[in-house]
Amino acid sequence: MPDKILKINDLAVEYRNKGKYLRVLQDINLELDSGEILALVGESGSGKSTLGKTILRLLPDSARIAEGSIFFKGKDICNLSEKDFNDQIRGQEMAMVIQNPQNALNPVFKVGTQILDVLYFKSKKQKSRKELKKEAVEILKKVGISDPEYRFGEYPHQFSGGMKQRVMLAMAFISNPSLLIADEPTTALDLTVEAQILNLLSNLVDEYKTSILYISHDLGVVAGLSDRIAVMYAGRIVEVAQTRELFDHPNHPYTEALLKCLPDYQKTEELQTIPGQVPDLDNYPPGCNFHPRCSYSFGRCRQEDPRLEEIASEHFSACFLNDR
Amino acid sequence: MFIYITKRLLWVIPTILTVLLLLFSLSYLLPGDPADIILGPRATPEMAAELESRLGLDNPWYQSYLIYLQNIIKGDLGTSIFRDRSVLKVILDVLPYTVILTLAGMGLAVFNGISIGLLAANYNNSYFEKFLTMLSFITASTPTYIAGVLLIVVFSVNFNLLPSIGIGDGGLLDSIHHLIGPALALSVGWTGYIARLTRSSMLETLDQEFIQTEKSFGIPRYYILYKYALKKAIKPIIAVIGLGIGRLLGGAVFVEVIFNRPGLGRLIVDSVNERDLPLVRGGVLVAALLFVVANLIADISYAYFDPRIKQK
Repeated sequence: MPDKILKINDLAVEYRNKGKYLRVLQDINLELDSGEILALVGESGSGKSTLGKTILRLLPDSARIAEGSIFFKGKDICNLSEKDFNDQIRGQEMAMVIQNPQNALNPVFKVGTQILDVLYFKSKKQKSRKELKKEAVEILKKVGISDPEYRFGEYPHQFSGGMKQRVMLAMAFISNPSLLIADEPTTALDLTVEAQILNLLSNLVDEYKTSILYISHDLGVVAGLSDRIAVMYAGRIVEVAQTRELFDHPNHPYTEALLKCLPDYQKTEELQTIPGQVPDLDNYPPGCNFHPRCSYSFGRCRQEDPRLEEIASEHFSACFLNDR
Repeated sequence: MFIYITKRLLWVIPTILTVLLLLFSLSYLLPGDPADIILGPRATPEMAAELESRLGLDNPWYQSYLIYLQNIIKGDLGTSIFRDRSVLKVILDVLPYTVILTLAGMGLAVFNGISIGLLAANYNNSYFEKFLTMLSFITASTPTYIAGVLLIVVFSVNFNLLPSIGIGDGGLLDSIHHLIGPALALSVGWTGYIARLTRSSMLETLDQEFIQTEKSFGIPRYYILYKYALKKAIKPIIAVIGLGIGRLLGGAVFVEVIFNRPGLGRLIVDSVNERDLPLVRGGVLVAALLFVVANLIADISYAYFDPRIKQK
């Protein structure tokens, strides 16, 4: 068995709201092999970004891990102190690239300053910023920024969206992380720029052997990039499978419905949608969270929570239809 | 950057011209005839006419305005009616005290306000933060004259730590000793205000995505707080400081009266009471100039804190 870089067991996350705790993530079980790209797919509000932030401890103070554990390289990282977590994990072992590059860089500091600070803390303040500048320029060149020496002294507003996302990737890979959490890194970009960034991302992954948790709502993007896909719905993982397997044999009705929502230019039939919307956090239905929108639902779906079960080799799904 | 500064500088000209016009029209708007006031009730019409022509009051208003402008450009603000000295000299005598007092007051307010605001943002939603919020509200709502009297009662009368009046014997240490009380009194209101502003601006900034990015790349919390967030959050505070200098000049009047210090604020109040028109005009003009300069510096310093401005 290849070593697991990330292992999440029975994770549940809650938010405090008006004195009550609301579950936003429930029964999350997920494993990530080293060097693997796992895509986390779901509608907005399904909790996929929350899961990414939970792993990197970027949740607001009002959130807490209610149950479960997160193991990174065999070590339980939930028990690390905040200081140890920052010193050992963030920027050393893990990094994150977020959705909107317009907002991802601090507008009042030079791009070079921001890159140098990441490097400086990565080196645990051992090297001076002068020594580090060469490394920084090197990586800017690698992510395809022309004239990096000059660009180094510019401010983020002088960069285009795609350029900013390249800088973000440079900053993420500068720390040579074992795990990169990419939260919809291309959603805000033009199609052509998106393709360039995805291309760059796969090149970087090949070079640095980084595992990626790729959060996206776009099955089309994910299809070409990921090794495996985990589908999330209303705070739970409903299906996990190899990418090919998931597209060829979707098991969960939600996955099936999502795939039908993908536009296909060869088909002339009208685009399908999933009726209804993701339930509110404080108003999850009893039983399976998806049953009000599911066309196959039957009595048991309204009463019991389905759990992820292996239905084929490496293919997990949480649906009672499989028991019938 | 150069164009930005030039533009800001050019804007000063119409501002000052407007101030001058308003000051000039004072002599037409104020109740009472200057000649009556100067000469007293027993003056004959001939004496009044003679004085009016000497003061240039018999010219049409636009001609007087031009003469007034010419004189100001030459640096001649006229002669104080009651002190019989050049207005400029009278003002320059007291101006340093006011400038030092205002700068010291603002400096204290900025330092204390930003410190309290940063602490409140850092410990948001804790009892410590609630205490700081209360403190900010109390200071923000304390008028300068109450703060001044309280300071005198507590530190001068009860503890005998600070002098209650005057500016000292001219020695540096003694001057500073005499400055502490007035500067504190002047800073109190602004301390609370700047603290509130810093806290809300910091919280807003800390909520932005780039803070999360910086965090996710392993940049320590103190570094994010004091380097990355503070520089982004400080812009509204700079704007308020620019305006605040002008307001502090107003507050300085009370402080100068309570602590019996010479100063521009007190001079203007005295000259208004005496109907010493040239002195009123000169004093207000200098106050307006200080206000304009303070805002100009604030505007220019924007460009340092927000690189996007440089390009405009």
